[in-house]
Amino acid sequence: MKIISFLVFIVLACWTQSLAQDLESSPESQAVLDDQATGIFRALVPVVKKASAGTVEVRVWRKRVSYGTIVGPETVLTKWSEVSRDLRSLSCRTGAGEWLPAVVSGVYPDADLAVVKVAGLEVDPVIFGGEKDLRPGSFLCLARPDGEAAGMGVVSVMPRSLRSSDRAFLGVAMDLEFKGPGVLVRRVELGTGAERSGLMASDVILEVTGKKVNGSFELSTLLQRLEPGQKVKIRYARGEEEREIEVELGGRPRAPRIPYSRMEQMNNMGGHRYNEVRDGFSRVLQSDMQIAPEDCGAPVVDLEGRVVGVAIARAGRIKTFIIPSSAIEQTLALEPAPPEAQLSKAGRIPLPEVRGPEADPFEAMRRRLEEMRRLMEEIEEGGE
Amino acid sequence: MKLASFGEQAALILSALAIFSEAAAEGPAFSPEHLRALQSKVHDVAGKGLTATVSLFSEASESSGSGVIISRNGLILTAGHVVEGLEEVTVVFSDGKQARGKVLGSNLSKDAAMVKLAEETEWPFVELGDSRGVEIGDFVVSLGHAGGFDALRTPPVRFGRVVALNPLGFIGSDCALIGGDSGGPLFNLKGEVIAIHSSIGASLTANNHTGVQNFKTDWDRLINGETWGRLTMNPLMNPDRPVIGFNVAGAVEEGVRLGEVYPDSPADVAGMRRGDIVVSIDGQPVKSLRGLQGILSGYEPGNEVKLTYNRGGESRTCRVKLARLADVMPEQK
Repeated sequence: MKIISFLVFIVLACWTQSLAQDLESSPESQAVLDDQATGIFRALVPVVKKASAGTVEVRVWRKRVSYGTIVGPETVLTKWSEVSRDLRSLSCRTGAGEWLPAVVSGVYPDADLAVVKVAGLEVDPVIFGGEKDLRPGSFLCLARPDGEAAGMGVVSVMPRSLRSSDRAFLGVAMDLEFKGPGVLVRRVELGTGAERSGLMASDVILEVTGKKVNGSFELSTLLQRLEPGQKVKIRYARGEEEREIEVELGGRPRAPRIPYSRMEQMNNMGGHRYNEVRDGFSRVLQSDMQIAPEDCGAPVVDLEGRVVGVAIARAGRIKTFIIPSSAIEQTLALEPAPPEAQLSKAGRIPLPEVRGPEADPFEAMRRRLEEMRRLMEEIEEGGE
Repeated sequence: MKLASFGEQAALILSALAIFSEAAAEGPAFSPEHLRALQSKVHDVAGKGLTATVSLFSEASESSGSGVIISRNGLILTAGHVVEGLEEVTVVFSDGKQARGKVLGSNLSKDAAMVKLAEETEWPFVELGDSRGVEIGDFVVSLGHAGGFDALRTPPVRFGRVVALNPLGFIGSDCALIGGDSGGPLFNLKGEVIAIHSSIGASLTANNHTGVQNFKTDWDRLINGETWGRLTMNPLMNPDRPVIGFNVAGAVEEGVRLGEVYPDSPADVAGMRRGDIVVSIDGQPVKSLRGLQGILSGYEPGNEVKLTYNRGGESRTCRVKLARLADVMPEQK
């Protein structure tokens, strides 16, 4: 009998190929795709115009580690974990090509944002336009200081919390093979709301907040959409008898939802780079836009050119996280923490000098072309 | 969507000239208005697609993939490897509702499978499209329960383009996929399912989907619960792929010219020789190696086909019984 709790480890179906492309991609089709991309990015230039003016490059020595969004007089917001690698030689470069020394004045560690003071920066801050009009599928792109758009993508998932502690937790392990009706409790976790309310193994949960539950997914969905600390009525069967109790929900203990190594393997195929700090945000929008880790900190705009958020992490093969405008404004209303305390807490991370051959676009392109040529030869020679 | 930025484009050898030349004007011109129209279509496709995209979970194997409902009575298309060895799955909707699904047939060689929702009721569904007319550069929308079902988010929407086509009915896109997506739908901008997520390669543009034509070809067998074929990394190297038994030296005006003919292969048995030009198979004209592979992908080993070919300007026909790739080229095993 299989037992599963909220801390479930599952094997995910996705079939990865060691040989990258078995699908034919010809130089002609690549030309079609390149033309199309060029056309789209040209059309985005007027869209990002205003936001671009409020964007700067953030550099350590001469290397760009992130972008920054201008949020006030001589004040830039950027990604803390990237600039904290080396605070000694921070500078900003404006779209007009002006170099200005920069100093981190405060940190919002939960959002991984740093407030950077840039003396002499005479550029108006961006206007946060709110994210209210966004829907799944809305177009987004990054505004670069040079006036161009980068990383076009769509809204993949509407804003949500990535913190497991924000997910309500009852504290029961469910029997997945139980055919219902209801959900059979296999085990009650110690120190949870379920234990305190007297739920026991072999109880069958029938209803939560008056809603019937037909299985483990329905129960966990209902619970996770409630808030930790909330009290819920649970109707359950113990033997022949039906009972009702009130349970105070807890926060979910931090645990990987999926087998880490397997997902990491898929994320890392092809040597793609992600930000070190890329999880645990309390409110983010998920997009499929493909950006580099050092593109974080830039404003993200919708097709109307409104700043809908700030890119905060390249987080995996399919996702980039963006802190939505409203959450940025709420964060900025709070007092930031002093950077010194945060540095000692995190331990200073040295700036990695070797970025690998993937960082060189020419090298990457040469490799791709070589791969394509090999593939073409294989196809031409490969019998019917 | 994998689009290098305008600035980075200049680094791409193929487009470096096009950017500033007249040729660029002939390419697709986009304006913010075009993009708004495109966005509005993506909104519609995502909105409708999300209700019909499901997570498929197996208690038996503790594996999790995706699927898409394509009929009111609850027929689900998914990938062959998602339901391999399973008889039953839990079907989970984006709102957390769950239902039982019975696994029907699979063609593992095409990574195509069907599941039927057990309960007889009216299910949300999306229309099935046609994968045969798909072209490089077509815009597509991808959905799937990436990373498994997650109560706090809907299946992530991805937008991209068709970047590769394969003669065996697979489609490549730049909509990045990851574990849990397999079996999920790839839509055209009309909101019709044109392919099902199958596999990924290292590159972010190596996302492979099995075209819906791969389902349509064997619709009745799949509905009737038949399972056949085998999963391979490269479908062209699938040992069970039907072949005639020759290499193609190149395409000519009338058809394709034969290179090596494999000993004891169906082509050899029928007396075909190097230099013969294959013109048609069962009346379907052969224009290229890809075309030939595409035609043969509609058959199974053991099927008999009528082959028309030219030798020295003379038209000939013969009937050949298709063999398995592995039987003709044992080293491909």
